[in-house]
Amino acid sequence: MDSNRIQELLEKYWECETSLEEEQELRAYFSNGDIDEQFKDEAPLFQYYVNEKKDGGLDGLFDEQVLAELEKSQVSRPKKGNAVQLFFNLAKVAAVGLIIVTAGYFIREEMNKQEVQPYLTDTFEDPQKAFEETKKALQLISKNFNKGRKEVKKLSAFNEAQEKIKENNL
Amino acid sequence: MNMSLEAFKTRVLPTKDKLYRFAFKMLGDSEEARDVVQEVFIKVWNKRDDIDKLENMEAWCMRVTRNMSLDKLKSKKRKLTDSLDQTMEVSMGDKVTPYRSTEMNDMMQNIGRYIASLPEKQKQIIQLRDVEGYSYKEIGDILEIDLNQVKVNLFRARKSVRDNLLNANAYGL
Amino acid sequence: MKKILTIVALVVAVQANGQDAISRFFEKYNDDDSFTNVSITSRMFSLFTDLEMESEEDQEVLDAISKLKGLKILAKDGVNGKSMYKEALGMLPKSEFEELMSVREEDNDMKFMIKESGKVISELVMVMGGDDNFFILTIFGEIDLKQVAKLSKAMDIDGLDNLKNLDKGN
Repeated sequence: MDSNRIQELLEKYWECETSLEEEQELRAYFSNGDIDEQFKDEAPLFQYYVNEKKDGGLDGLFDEQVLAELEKSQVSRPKKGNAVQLFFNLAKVAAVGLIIVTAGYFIREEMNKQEVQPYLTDTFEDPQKAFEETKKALQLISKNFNKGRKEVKKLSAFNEAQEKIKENNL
Repeated sequence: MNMSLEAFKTRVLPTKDKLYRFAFKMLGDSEEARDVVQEVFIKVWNKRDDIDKLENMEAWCMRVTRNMSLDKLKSKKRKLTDSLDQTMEVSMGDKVTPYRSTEMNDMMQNIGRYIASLPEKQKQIIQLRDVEGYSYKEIGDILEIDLNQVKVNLFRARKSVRDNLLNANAYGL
Repeated sequence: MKKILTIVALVVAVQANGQDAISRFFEKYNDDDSFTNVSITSRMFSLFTDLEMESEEDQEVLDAISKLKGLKILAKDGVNGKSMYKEALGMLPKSEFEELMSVREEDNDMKFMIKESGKVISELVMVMGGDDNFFILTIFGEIDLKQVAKLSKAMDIDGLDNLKNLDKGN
């Protein structure tokens, strides 16, 4: 490959101005063995990068282990059809009722813990509009938040002011 | 959409080496890195209903890998009385990579050791950019920092690496 | 199976309803048309990823949204904002919410309240009350304050200086 081209790419590389493709070009050049003497200082670096990518990895045993784990969790998912059969049996219907109540209770507990979604309805149907609104809202928070932080930094008397607000409002 | 096991095999599993190398660079321990990747995959699988909404799944996986590795490091740090830096230095110094690096010559080992000694963020950015070939945007997503931070840190990292390279040669190390 | 799930979902929804104090506050004023009312759910958030994001700014907003599950705004002009401000803060359970920051600007009082679960902020409420306006905004999910703070550093949006403009936008 043209030495001038490599020289040029290297200069760009050190300035962090190379594109991904150009960096790939450099790595390719340095790993093909036929390297110009003037670049011998840089050569091991790019060879190191290539080597790093080539060498490290996980074996097939890993795949097997992971896939086995995943299949386990898939099996534990509810299967279709079971529920239908349950309905043929009155006793089982009662059991289902119990499950629902218990599940409801536990899920509710979970929800209380994790606070899942108390907001159930959207005021927008157009995502674009909803996005614009969200953007406005977040920027409003952001702006006020930063303003507030600045104030905190500026005023050592902030605590005093805070107390005052509390007195006035609570 | 629900991701099938087949889709998982073709779309997610092939990222394992990248995730593993990244986790290893952070943890310096091949067993732990392996565990982290496994945990990441299980997390992906459990979230497979939402996974299609992700713009860049691989970057997301890398991010989860990083966060899990950081968690591991934190708990490790609590266990050990030594400072994190010391433990890292020792473990990184001993073995630059866990792999059978037949082609690694002294020079490259020296480089590996030097990169391992860079500040954490710079080290990670070098790994993501110069080894794995991620774009600045993706690196920002993975490390949860803005583009400017990515560029500044990459610049510093490459500069240190270059200085080290030139010094090493000047002194004939 | 679907049926059962639906029933479970219903039971849970009913049980979970009214658990959340701030939701009750919103419900109280939801049907009052004189209020500007905005509500965006996680389902809508998930649709944002399909939108064409033109600018880096939009991308940052999207990043900030990525872990959110809901957003609600309630605002009104020409109302005794101070008393509503007190009412809203009074409805936040003291055991769950912590004050993050409180700012007074001209006649406006503003408070940021946060709820933490584990180490993450799971809910953020921004309440503002002036002599003749009121504004409450809550976001919900996994909130990264640093990311939110970043949004207004990058740009200064016209018309976000006060909430009146946000009101008119609707």
